Amino acid sequence: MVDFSNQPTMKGFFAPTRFEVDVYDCEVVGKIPTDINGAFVRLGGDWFYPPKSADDSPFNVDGYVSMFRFKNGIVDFKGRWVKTPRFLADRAAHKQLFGMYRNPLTDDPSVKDLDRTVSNTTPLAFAGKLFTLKEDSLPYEINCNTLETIGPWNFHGKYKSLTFTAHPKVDPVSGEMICYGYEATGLETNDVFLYTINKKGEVTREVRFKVPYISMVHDIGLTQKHVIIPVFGFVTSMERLKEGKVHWGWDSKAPSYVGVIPRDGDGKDIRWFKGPERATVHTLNTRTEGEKVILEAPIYDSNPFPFFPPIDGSPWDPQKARAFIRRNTFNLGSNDDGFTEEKLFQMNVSDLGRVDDRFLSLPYRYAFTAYGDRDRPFDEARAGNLKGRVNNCYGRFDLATGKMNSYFAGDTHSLQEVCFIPRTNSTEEGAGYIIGVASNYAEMRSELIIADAQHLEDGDVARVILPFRATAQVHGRWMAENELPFA
Amino acid sequence: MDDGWLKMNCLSHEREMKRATNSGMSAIADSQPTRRNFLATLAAASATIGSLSMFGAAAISSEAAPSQAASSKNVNDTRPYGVVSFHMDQPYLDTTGTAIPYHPPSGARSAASAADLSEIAFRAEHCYA
Ligand SMILES: [Fe+2]
Repeated sequence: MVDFSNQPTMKGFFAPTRFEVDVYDCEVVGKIPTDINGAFVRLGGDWFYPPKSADDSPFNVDGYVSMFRFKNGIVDFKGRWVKTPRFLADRAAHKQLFGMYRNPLTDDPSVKDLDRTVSNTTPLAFAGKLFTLKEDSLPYEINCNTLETIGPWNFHGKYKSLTFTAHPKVDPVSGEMICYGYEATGLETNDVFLYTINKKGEVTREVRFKVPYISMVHDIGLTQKHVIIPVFGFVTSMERLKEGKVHWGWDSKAPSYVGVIPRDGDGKDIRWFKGPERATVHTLNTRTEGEKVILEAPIYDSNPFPFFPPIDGSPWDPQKARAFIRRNTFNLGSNDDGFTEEKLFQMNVSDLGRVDDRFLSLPYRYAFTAYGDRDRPFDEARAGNLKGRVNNCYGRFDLATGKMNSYFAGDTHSLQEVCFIPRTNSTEEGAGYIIGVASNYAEMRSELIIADAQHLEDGDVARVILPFRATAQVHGRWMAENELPFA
Repeated sequence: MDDGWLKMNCLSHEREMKRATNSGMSAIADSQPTRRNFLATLAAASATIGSLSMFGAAAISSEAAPSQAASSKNVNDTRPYGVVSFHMDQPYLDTTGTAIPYHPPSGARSAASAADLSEIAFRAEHCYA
């Protein structure tokens, strides 16, 4: 029997969404711009069966891939569970067989040695294939038209790491993908394998190195010359796993390390810079300027995730779990192993930020991300009291001037990750649309908002209305018509 | 009872009244039944079918002992008496008996389930909500 009644955080809008869905010719308020053709693919998930442990991480939810398919002004929506071996095993048993996040020692013995991934983090279109990604396993290939799961993909056997990041970088100049896996040779190993994969999906380069300590290497930075590898405060050990704990704990005394490796270099060429306690979970963009490598990212002072608790038993600190857009500068011409840090905006933001991907690895000006503006209205009578815990705006942050332009989603809404769609036939940075899904707590439904990225204050260009709550997203990506073999 | 709920309740009530007035519906707003009228109607109907006791629990007399309740009240008695009603599992006590019945706001209030969660409990499950 499936019973979520004793899950206090899974009620109302946050109750599990357990269905698969097809909606044809979605309701649209406004008019879909004719130059938006392709798909906005979202990946996230939900518990199909309740977790075995109440303090498990939400990163352990079953993967669910969904797609807003845009074609000639018409939008269809489709959602499917990612049919991983784990999902299928649970379905066959009619219960949750898997234990804590990335701790196989807490699993039911019947699923020993089965791939534990829920493949729930980032969708990727590359070399004509659609994938779902999670950093604990290989990519899972998905049929881009049916969203049915095909299976794991190892790039014709040439990708040797056992894991694949949720944040590969595609170089807009060469079309190559730079990707990696950490804990690459197995659970609790300090190996990182870094790959270059060409436009045809063939592995052309592999570099192996070790990290200063085993940590969550969730995202990296790519410049035209270097790869930047942030390592920070999340620690793990086989002892933790034997104690039945979740994979990561937070060590406030662990220094942050940032590795800088030349794209044409070898493992021995990596240089580690060292800094204070920080969490750089996601990056915005990076670039090389002479001997300086510059990273810009929404960076937390400390642990952003209470479900990966401090290892010293101290309480999780929400004040330090706020991300600010910062710039880190690494001077390759200096012998100093430190680096500088600047806070570029004084307001805290969602760390799920994006740039115009045509400018990834290059000099750029604009970053987009969600944030909560407490001065905007929130209708508690219709939406329910969330005590200000909403991201009600998307901001365009101008890194050249320090100015911010803002889109407001509505007084009963909270926004998920923003995504940028470049305008067809324009090469100007930031010319295009921002899209993202808003949760409408008053109407108990999800809405896809589309706004002109250069005129955010003007509000919606169009809004796609779903008559239900779409399964929550972690990351979403825009996939143009020519990137995948769409029907 | 939670102060926030009461406050929200009042605001919602005012909003509904304002909405009715602004849209030229003041006559409708004025003619809305009071709890007292509603109970009186209910009691009369119940008396007719001889099953008054089933409604007794819905009314608490401000003068009579609870055991006497509405069933023993004369339907022509216009003195106010208290009424307990429920909205979204929360009791609402109108001791005057003269208030206009509470109308829930038109929104689903679907975020309310998270209102009482601590920051750590909320972020532990909805870190990217
Ligand atoms: Fe991520």
